[in-house]
Amino acid sequence: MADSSPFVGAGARRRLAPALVVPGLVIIGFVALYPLVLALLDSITQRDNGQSPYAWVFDNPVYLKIIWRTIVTALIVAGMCVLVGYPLAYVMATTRSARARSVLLLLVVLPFWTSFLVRVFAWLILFQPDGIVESVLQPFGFDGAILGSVWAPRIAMVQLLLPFMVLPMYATMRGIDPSLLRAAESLGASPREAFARIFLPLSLPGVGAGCLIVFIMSLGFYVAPALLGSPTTSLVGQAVFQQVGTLLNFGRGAALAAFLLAITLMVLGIAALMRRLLGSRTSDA
Amino acid sequence: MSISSRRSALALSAAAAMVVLAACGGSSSDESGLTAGDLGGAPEAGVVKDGVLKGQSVQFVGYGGDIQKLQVGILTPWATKSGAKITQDSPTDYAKLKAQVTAGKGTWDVVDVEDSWAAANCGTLLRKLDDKIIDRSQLPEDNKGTDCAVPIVGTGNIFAYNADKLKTAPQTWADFFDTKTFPGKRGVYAGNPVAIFEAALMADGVAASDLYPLDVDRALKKLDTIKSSLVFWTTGAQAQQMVESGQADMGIFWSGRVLNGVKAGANWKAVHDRPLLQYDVLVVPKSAPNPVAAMSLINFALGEEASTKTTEGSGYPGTNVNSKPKVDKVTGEFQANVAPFKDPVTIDSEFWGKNVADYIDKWTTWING
Repeated sequence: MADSSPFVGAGARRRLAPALVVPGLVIIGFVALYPLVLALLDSITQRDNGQSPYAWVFDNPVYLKIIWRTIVTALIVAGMCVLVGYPLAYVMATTRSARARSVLLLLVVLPFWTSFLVRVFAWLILFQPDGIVESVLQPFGFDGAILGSVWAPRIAMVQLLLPFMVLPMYATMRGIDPSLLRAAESLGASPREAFARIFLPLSLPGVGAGCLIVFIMSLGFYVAPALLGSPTTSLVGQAVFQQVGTLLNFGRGAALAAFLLAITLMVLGIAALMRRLLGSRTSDA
Repeated sequence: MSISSRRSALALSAAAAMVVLAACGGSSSDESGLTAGDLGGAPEAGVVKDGVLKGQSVQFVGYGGDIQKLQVGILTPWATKSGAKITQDSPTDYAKLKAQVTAGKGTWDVVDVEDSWAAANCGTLLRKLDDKIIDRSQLPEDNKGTDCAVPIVGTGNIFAYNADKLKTAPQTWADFFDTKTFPGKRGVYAGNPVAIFEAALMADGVAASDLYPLDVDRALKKLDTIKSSLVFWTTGAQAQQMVESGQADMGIFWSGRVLNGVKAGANWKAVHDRPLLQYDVLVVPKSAPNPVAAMSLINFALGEEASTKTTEGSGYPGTNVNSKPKVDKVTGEFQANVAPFKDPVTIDSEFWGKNVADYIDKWTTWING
């Protein structure tokens, strides 16, 4: 494969490749790996009255509960992003109007140009008691405060993270050859069947990539739950902040963060496994 | 005194400082060799001698915003008189302070922090304050600070309520826990259980003098009775928003935040029963490059004039006993350390400093339950 590059000969390319990754690796090494190793060391070596940070987590089941709540929240946010994002990405990828496509793309990307914090504060205003969101929900029998509920940060996170779901799905869908669908239909499949048996499976890698990004980013969210949620339904980010920011207990903060890291690695592992299984199945077929 | 004898006196005092340093593991001597003796005799709160700190510089760190502007304004005469310069940073960030101390190299000299945090980190992150530089005699008897910290401005944790919503005025802490007579949402601080545990115990009949050590299980049991009526705030701005927006009908708030809400038009009133006082304290991190000048500045902040200006400018009580601030009537209603408030209780910062981590675990378990 490597020899097929029209720009650089294979030999030159092989010699260049290590040099090309050095700057990136150096940055990642210093700003990500090195602090991560230090934090993990803290979480392993620190003792408070003889207790290790991990023993502390298991001694206070509330932190396991908070970790579990964080996982559930991340799953819900990823799920809601798929529900909202898939149709949007589908229309963006399949519309024949170039203008509609650019307008939709612009709308998806627009939030990137607004400060994250500003968007959270915007939600803070929308979620006010008797504010817009509450008055819209009231006719549907919603009664109570949305601000400070577990749903306020989830709704906001869907909006904040939607681009990370839509863009990979859109990229994958754009790569699906429309003639495959036409072929299916010419062979007698209904449009619905063509979608379900051709388009949907081919778009799944995009959905998977989007879900991974959104799920992993949700795990570490701090600002939205801190400002919109309630401490009664806090997520891991808030617990980490409490330990590190106010109690200066870096070890315990790192232990909580280590759980997130473990979950993330597990999810990545599962994703890699699934890709291999699915990949081998398609190559068998 | 001739120049050479002055120089040898300086050298001697520097040498003496080294000995002290070696003996007690770090006291107030500068990298520049400045010592307490150079400040010109016994300290008096609020007083600094002319020109004693010429060429020195102190970095003051507060919580930023209007309050820091006010603080630095109040401290400026110290700079003018002593010849030192004040630089600023903000906001106070405990993790950053720890990082400076751990690195053994910092820029922060004087930091405005919470009293219980200072008590918990005295000797590890914070320097012991030097009595030869800092005069505590004008602080209240029951509030002299700790080895590493002196109180400069108080915050009352007060029971306040929306007078438009509550037809009968609650009178005591017990009323805060009486959801039958006084139904409504109660806003309380979520970050830690300081003050709310005390309030619960007093409402349950514990005398203020018997509060410590706190009976946490009893406090949580009392809190169970109003749990469904609680709403939580985590920042002062959120508290004020609760007051102004009607998200809470009553609550335990920092007095100044309710005052701000009232000034913005909210019809809220304070219950004057036993406010729980906490203090902002000034500390010197171990990594401070200019500890002598820093402590001189702290000594100035303890003066009567600084205290008076603090109260008049912020509405929060200062700590100098001779201070007689003039405040308007509304502000007076929220001055938690004086009448009409009855029997203010000073929260035991040393007790909290020792126990806050464990109590936060219990508190987090309780509010997430």
